[in-house]
Amino acid sequence: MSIDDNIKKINEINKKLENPDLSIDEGIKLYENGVSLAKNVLEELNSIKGKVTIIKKELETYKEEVFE
Amino acid sequence: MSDPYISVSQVNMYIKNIFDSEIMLQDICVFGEVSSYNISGGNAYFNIKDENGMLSCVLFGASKFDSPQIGDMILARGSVSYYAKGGRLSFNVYSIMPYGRGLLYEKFLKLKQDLEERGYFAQEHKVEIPSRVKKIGVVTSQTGAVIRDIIDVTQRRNDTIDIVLYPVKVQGLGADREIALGIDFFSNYDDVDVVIVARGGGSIEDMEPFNSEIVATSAYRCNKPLVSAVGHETDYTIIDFVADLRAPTPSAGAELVAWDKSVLADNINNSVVVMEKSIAHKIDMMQGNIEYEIECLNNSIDNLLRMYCINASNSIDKLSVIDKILDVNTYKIDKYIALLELYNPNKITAMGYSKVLSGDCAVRSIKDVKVKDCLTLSFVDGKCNCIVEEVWV
Repeated sequence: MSIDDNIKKINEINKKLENPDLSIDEGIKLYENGVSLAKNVLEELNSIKGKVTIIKKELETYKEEVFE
Repeated sequence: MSDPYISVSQVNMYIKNIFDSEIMLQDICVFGEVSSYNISGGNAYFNIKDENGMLSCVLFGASKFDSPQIGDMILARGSVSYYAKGGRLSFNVYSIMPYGRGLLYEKFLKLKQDLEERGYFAQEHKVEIPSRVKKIGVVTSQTGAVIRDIIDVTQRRNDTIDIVLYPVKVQGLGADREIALGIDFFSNYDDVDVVIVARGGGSIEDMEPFNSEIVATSAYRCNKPLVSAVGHETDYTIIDFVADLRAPTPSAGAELVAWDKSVLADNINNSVVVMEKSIAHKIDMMQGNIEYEIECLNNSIDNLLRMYCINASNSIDKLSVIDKILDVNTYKIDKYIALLELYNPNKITAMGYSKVLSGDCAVRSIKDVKVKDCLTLSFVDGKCNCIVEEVWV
């Protein structure tokens, strides 16, 4: 699931948790799910390292090489 | 008879009206050599000339423009009017620029108008820049500060974003074609989410490729959201009008495209705090309800106990009454037992009395006894039979 999908889900969970009619059991399940999604997003943010590349043309094909 | 003469003012107003209504003299560009240039009261009064003539000009708000030197060739844009009060012809200038630059500017204006009419700048054609891009395609020179600035700003804001550079010449012959090819390349390159076309500041001549139709057309047809980040804040090029978003500088372009990772992390952490508060509130509510229920239960138990105590107390009262009744009855029973003891036949026979039986029936009167009757005498410790010999009454 993408970061955007996770964030969308977290926002949905927050909205659901605002519902006063929501049972405590459901609430705890949603909360645990939300915390897990938040953890996933933060882990993903910290684990991905972006690359800088340059397009090189070889004959008729293009390829990405590391840009120094 | 009417006056055959007209006033100076009437003549001047008549002349002024003729000039003002002449379309050919309105909003025109005139080039010429500056032969004099004086500033007074914020306005510039100057003459431009060519080999066959001279034109008096006035530039209102002259401080907004660089003052030309005597002998410079300039392009002046304005309208010819007649200054009725002074009785002088005047070329009212809105803007001036060096002549060479002026030609480029004219070309720029013409292309801009043409592309605008063709819908290249239409707002409805523009697309939004994605809020969370993963990969940015950059069309710019591979040398120089621009690409370094873009990389630095992007990585400072978000080191998860990939950057891919399509290297191009950004000025000079053939630069326009290379830039257009770069845009076309990224237009069909699935990996990138957005394209930045960038170059640093420079003269209008340096910006020429970004004012070309070929670049404008590639930008217009680009299938990816496109950001122009050309020159400085005050420089506007054709691609700025075609792009989906115009950034005032290359660094600003990176700022606009690269979403801030720390802001997202903060938002996520805040979301978790909100979740915690929501669930804590729910738990508080539940705890409150439980405490209320417990209090209700305690009250009910208290009430029940109170009721039982009252009932028990009543029962104890009743029991004491029963006790008293029992005491009275026990007394009576004792009395009866004493009486019974008193009349116990065994006790009487033990005193020497004996019971007289005829068969199994007790003989209670002498009248029931006759001579020769066989009677049984029952003692406390045994019996005997005897014959009646004599009866006395």
